Amino acid sequence: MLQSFNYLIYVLLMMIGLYAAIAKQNVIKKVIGLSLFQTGIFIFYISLGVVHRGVAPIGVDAPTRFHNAFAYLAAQEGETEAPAIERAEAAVEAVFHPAHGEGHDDGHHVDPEAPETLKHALEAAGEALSEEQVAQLEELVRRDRLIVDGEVRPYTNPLPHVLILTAIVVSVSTLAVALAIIVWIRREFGTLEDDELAELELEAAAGGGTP
Amino acid sequence: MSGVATHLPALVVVTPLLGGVLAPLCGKGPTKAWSLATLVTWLTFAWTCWLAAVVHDQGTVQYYVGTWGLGSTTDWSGVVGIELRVDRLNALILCLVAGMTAVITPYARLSVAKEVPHDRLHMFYAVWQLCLTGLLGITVTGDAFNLYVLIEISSLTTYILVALGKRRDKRALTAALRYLFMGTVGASFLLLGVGYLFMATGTLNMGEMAVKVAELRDTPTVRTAFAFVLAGLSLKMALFPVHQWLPKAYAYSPSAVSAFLASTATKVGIYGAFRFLFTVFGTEFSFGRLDANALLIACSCLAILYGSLVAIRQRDLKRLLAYSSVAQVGYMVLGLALANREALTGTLVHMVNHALVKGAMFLAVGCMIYRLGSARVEDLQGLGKRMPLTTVCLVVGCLGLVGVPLTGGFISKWYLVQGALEAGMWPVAVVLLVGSLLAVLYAMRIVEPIVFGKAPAGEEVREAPPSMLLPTAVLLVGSLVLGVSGSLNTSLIWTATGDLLGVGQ
Repeated sequence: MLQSFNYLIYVLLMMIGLYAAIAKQNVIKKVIGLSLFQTGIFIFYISLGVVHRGVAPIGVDAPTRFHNAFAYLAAQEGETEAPAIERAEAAVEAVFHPAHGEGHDDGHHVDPEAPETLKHALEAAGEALSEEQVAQLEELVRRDRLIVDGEVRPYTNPLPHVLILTAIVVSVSTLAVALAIIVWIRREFGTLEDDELAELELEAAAGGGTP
Repeated sequence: MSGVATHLPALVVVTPLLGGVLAPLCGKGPTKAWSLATLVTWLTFAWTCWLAAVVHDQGTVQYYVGTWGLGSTTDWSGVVGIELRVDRLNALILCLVAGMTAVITPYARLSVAKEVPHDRLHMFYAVWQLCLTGLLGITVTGDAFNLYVLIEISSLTTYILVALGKRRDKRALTAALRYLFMGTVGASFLLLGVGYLFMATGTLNMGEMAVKVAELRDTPTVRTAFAFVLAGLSLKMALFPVHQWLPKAYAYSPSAVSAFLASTATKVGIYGAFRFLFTVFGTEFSFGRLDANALLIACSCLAILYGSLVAIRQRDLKRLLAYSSVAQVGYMVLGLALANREALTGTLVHMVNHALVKGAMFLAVGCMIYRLGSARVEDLQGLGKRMPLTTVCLVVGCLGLVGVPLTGGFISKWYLVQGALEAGMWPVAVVLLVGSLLAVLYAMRIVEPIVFGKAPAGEEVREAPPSMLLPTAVLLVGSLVLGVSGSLNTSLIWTATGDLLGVGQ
């Protein structure tokens, strides 16, 4: 029940909006209903992206991910493993930042995000660490994991949020166009009530339309 | 492919978009913005033809926009960006939409200058090109969310184009607002449907969605998505019973806009239905599991009968043609729902034919409005003698609408009837024939007063200017060519429908 709370709200908002858009006589109220209807859909999309205990998906570069992961490992494994982890961290550091002499001479530059760099780094760490620890390390440095306050947390899915930003822009544009047309209607017909507009339209039809 | 050819799918959308941005900078006045729009639409048409030739030679063209992070333009597994994808089906629709716009834009100069407020002419052409951008974008994109955004772009611009008809008839404003209400609800349903699809599949790329939907089979999420998408698209393509926005929007918008919308907007909506029902959900799911075809066939048969019957009662030619469009959408959706190769071919030929014929008829009626300021039956009495060329165009258009042999309408209806019989649904074939008979009645309603009516004495009415007559005639000649050389054109369409159903030659 509580899990689907967002979805209940979205359906409720949508239905209220749709009701207003259909049943209200005043066209401004209809437009408000339409906006509410769309807002319901926004909530639906935003709920789609939610991941339990997820954090904002602000990425950090690979060296930082490794650094965080080693700190996390060190805290987990206790004193005995500390030297091994330190050695592994130094080895990984060397992969990301090759010694200056070699690095500059042939213009070689390491792309920290490239898959092969990641592989090299894990291999380097493997010389100092046990297989299980390397597996754990690999899990920790994945792009969709973030270590926050000594705790591994997944990212929320950013895509629906980005999508809905676009949809919000669309909805604002719709609102703008609707209001612009309503301003013209008010000027030409002198009313904003839907039933009166319908009557005036019929009159215009009987009068043969304005030439 | 090299050079420009590589970027054709993007150019098709970017060219009218740039045109739309530049048009307001041209300054007020009837000529400058129009010249730009004409140039841009013809350039776009050239791109689409080139693209169609490439697709014809090399098969499906894929183009990736924003391939950041992972993958490259060739290998794109797991790409985050948007795919543009052009196969035989949408290459055809692209050519149709761009071609119709390219022919109608030259017509628009005089007609629009008379029907749209003068200080807004440059804005009119800006919105005109943006609408084209949206329609071509819907057709070219392979990304479901992108499709929603582009539908909204084309819809928003359509509301504005319709509302600009207010100078001739203030009811254009209420028509635009009502269309806005229905169109927004429809597009929002589509947005919801795409959301549910994303929820179920985790992707927005239509190709990947199709693979995952096939794996998922029948889950409530996919079913919900299907319902929302179908409802949204039905609104966009004005399928009975959610067609109410169409007659008023077409009747009161400027004549060039009526022709433009009638020949492109609903067609693109139907293309969207093709994409979702056949590519994303797959025929087996849409028609086998969910029986969506029963619903669609019922709706489209009602559309044919209702649209034709109401058209007969109209006293305004534009409204008459608009109701006839409701019926014609019925024909197209019927073929789609029958989902066999004959019927699908019929639908595609009908889309092309109806675009040409209905576009031409709206243009011909626009010529009459240009000279008379009215398209009401009683004002058109005996116009045949005074505007003979326009009348000829209108009459040929009527023949095409009815589906007389040697017009494209005959071929499409032939295929549709064949498709209905192949599906073993002879009552549907009867509806098709009754629809054609009703079309004869409303065609008579158009032709009879104009050709046989008695002209009121006095005022002299001249023939429409050549710049308006020529585009009208071009479209009709196109329709006749389609009808006479049917085999040539339908063979292209036949392969396209083969792709759609996933069968060989």
